[in-house]
Amino acid sequence: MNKLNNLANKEALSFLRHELACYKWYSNLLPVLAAVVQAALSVVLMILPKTVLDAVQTETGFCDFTRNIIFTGAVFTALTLVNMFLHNEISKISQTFLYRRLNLLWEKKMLSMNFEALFSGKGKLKIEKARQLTSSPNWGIVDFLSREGAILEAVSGLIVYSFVVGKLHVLMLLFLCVLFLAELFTGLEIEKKKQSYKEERAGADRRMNYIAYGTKGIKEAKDIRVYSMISMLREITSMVVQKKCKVESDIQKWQMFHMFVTAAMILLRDSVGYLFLLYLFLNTQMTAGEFAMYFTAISGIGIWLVKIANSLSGYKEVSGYVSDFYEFMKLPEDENKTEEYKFQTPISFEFKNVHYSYHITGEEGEQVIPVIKGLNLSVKAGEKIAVVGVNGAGKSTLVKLLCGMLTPDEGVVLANGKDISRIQKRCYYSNFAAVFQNSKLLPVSIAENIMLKKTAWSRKSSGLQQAAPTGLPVSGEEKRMWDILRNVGLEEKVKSMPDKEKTCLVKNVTGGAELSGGQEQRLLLARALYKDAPVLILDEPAAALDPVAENEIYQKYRGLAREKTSFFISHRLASTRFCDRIIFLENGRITEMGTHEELMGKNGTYADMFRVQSRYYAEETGAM
Amino acid sequence: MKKNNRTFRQDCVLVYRGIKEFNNILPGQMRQVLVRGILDAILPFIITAVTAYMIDGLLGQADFRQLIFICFTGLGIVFLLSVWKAKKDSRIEAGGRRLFSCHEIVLTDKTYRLCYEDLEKSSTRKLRDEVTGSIIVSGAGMASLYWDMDTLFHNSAILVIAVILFLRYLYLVARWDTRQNSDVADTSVFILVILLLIVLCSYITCKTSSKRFDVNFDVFQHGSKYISFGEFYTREYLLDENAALDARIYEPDDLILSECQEKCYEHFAKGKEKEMHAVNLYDGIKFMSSCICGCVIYLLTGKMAMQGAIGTGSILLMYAAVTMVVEALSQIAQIITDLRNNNEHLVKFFKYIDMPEAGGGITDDCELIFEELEVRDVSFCYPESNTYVLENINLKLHAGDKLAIAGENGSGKTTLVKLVCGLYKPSEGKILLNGKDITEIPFEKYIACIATVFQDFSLFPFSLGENVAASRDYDIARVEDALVKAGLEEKLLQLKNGIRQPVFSDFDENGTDLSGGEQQKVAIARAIYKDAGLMVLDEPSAALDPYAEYEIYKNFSEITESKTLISISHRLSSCRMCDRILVLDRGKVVQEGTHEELVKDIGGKYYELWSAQAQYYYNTSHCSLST
Repeated sequence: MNKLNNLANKEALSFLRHELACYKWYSNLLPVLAAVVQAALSVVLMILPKTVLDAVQTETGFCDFTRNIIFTGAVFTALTLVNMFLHNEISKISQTFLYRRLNLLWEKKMLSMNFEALFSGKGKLKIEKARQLTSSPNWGIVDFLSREGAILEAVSGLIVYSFVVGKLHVLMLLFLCVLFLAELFTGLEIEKKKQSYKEERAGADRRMNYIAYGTKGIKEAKDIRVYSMISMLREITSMVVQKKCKVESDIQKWQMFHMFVTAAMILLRDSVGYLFLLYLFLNTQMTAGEFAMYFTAISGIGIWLVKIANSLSGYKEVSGYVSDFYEFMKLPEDENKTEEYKFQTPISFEFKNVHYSYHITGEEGEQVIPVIKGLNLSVKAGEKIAVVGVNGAGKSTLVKLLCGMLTPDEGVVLANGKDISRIQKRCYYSNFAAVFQNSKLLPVSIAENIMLKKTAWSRKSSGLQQAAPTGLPVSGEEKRMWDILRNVGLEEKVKSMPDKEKTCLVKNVTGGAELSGGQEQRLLLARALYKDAPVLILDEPAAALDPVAENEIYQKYRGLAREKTSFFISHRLASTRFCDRIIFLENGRITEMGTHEELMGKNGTYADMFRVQSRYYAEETGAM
Repeated sequence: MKKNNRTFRQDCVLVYRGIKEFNNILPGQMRQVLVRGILDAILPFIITAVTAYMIDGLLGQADFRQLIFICFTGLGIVFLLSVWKAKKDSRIEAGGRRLFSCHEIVLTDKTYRLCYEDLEKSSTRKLRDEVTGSIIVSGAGMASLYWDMDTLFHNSAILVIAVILFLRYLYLVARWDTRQNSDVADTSVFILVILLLIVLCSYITCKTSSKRFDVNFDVFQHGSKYISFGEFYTREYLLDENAALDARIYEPDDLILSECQEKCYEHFAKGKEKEMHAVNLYDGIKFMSSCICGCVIYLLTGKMAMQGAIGTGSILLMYAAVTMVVEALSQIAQIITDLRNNNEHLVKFFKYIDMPEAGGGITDDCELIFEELEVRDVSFCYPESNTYVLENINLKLHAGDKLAIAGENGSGKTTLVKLVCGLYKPSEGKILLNGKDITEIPFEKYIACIATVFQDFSLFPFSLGENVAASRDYDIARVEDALVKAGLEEKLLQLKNGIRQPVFSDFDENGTDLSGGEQQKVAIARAIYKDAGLMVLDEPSAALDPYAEYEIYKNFSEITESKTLISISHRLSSCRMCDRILVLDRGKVVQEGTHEELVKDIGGKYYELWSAQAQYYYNTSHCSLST
């Protein structure tokens, strides 16, 4: 098991090294160079004061003394500068690597990952971990080079100092090692004690975070004021802060104990060191310079040993991060388009005995929740289908199965008679245009939100002149966009904005314009129409609209979906009557199917639900 | 000495205020840091001093016992100070770990107390986002102040110690001079050279390193803006299930990747490169001058020691003192620049903290009982715009009345509700409760007579009971009763801990998740528990499917039985339960009357709304009747 772990770790590290080398070819050399310079520097740092002290003691001539100092000083200065430069370079490369490459890798992966993997329990965990590890310039994978540098430096420093102390006396070296081991042991024990607070601390942190960041919105502000919740929130806040203080000070008690032990060890080390050197000085031919040098070496060796221990755990930690990130990078991806599979349009679909279950990993192990249970359905080319049912009946899952996001556990989905699992995913996706429930707009201009690619002008303004679009003439694209905006009833609104189609959306990010729920929905519709794909899917497009706007959308729907196979999902039954066929989903199965009149005639669940919904309206008609 | 349009004096005042405000975030922390800074500065000097004395003793043929005494006293002091420092360290570490969240808590507490109207302004939200964003991105603001003060304390202490050592050295040399009666000019030249060297070296390093924090000022200042672009994608968009569907269907990969890179990460990468470039130069100069300065000190003190003016060990002390002075001065220069830049952020923090708070009115003990609410000639426009959202609204509600408000999106329904709740103040006109202008009634007292379920209500991840009662201590029986009335009886039976069960898992990991419908019911239960005279329901069924919606309306008459009610809904079906309907169109009352009256006015707005919704039902029920 351990070996397997090591192997995986090695693979992950070589992955990172490769990425680093691709970014800057010399990245991986920097820590090694830093270690070499460090070794040289520690030698000079011992020699310099020794030269001075020895010169004074032996009464060397001032000229010789000056020459010595100038020579050593020059070497010292040069090494210090190189050392500084290397460290700065490591810090620069680490951070720019994070900004320019790691973040990009994460985003690319998120966009190309298999949809099911993306939302599986394990996938979510790995994604979140990888995100955290690449989100801060102060912590995470960004530390890799500097941690590696630190451990190499500590080793080279230790070698130099051990050599000096070993020259003094082997027993001294042995004594220092024993002391170090004792210190290491207590450190590990205390670390274990501190680890035992891990969960308590995580809980306290979670509460703290909620209190700090969770109640500041204007949405909460209304209820806080209207229900006078300030005193409750304050009470809970002070409770949470107290708890956090308690956990931290409990942990810090151990930390303090550790520091106490360290201080005692240093006391022991330095006393023994001084006594030993005193003894040697008084009994042998030791010079004052040597006395100072050896003492520096004795206290230095302790410092390097501690540094090795620290940097080792630091390095272990960071290579753990690298493994986590590599695990994320290995999550299954949708393969790139290699073959071009063209469907004859419009496309027909068939579901054959399709089953699908969600897997949820909770406290009591894995739960399997069946959502689609043996669904059979065939859709003619160009047919307009309405899918209705209560919340949780499986409508959205059906759509995801249809567009290939989810793969059925059992059964097949056929498009024009071809099993869709045999078609490359990205190739298949390109046949759909959809407005999903709660689709999101991007913080880019309106035009870019519709076309979903960089426009010529935005490319120009950002100064990024790579591969100017030569395929379509820009004016043609823009004309089409305006036609569509007119069609969905947004032309006037967009023209009235200060920057027209260049106005940025998502106000809280760009400071641009904010659209109302209805306008947003229309813009999403425009985006779907702009793609002009053979299949159109609208999932609850009217949820955010008022009755008048809702009605308008329905009226347009027929025209919009001309010559396309289309699917319309809604829990409002009234809205589905302009479709060719209504499919009533209940509990993961199709229980009723037909036109509205046929379904009402059946007097089944659909009719019942319809009556509940239209109760008030229906009574009215009765009265009239 | 103006920087960012502030004089040095003004900057000092800001920093001083910052230190005082910091005490609200982490009480007592600054004092701990001060003590640690001093300890941190003393410790290395003591260790060097011990070695120096030892060497002096050895060369001066001191006896063994004396040497041992020096050695152990020195090491003993080091040990005691280390233990003291350990204590401070762990206190400071424990505090530092809650710095960011406590910072946020102080701000959020302010948020609770702000006027709702101010809070809703986009300028206020932007200010808050900036304050929060910059501390998260780079610690700018309070955290930077804290870290800077830490460094400042430490380096100032070093400076003081070094100056003392230097004076001692001067004293030794001067004493030796007078004793030797040698050439005074010779030694004073040395001293002058050393002084000159220190001044020159410090000047160069201060001058250059003070610029260090100006280089990356762009990122320091706008970082939170850049990061909000990146975080939109990395924290929201790419993690969102619906967005993931979009991203696969529409393949906006290139757009998203280049957006992230251009609007966020490239700024940081460029900033870092620029910074490190400058740091290489500034630190290069600093290290070089410090190294050269150190070597010259070795030369000079070495010469003095050779002549016997000072002890050999003093060479080590002098070297340590001089190099540390140079380092400390450059650090202090850097910190001063950083503090002055950081004031840009502190100003924002103060601006938020200083915003006016809600309040006013004189509290008295007598309870208000809802008798009558009057909205008189009320017009309203948002503070940052000049178009009226509501114009000349007049409305009178007596105890027990049931009023529905209908209208299209954007007709001003929700704004009217917020006015009635006292969250907004009318731009013109008055709202009167029992004949008294509500601006003269303390908000707390006024709001006690109103129970509102907002369209976008929010629940809190505390226990179910706390959510319903909006308080830490509550009447268990009444909470249960309210939940049952809101239609949550079944759910309540399922819960292990009953009403003590926490809701959601962001606060307590054992929390229960509630579906949209259940959440809505809890929000309604909260209004029921409040048992106020006036109940305001804004779209209480928006998130529900038809069955759940029906269920809620079924219980409505029971819930609102004796209460005064204002109800708003897209789905006009709910209007029919009310005695009176007010139809709003573009901020004006266009119709008023009962459902039966209004639906007959075929040219009216209400008829338009009604028929848009009813036509499918109408036609179909017609069809189904005919088939």
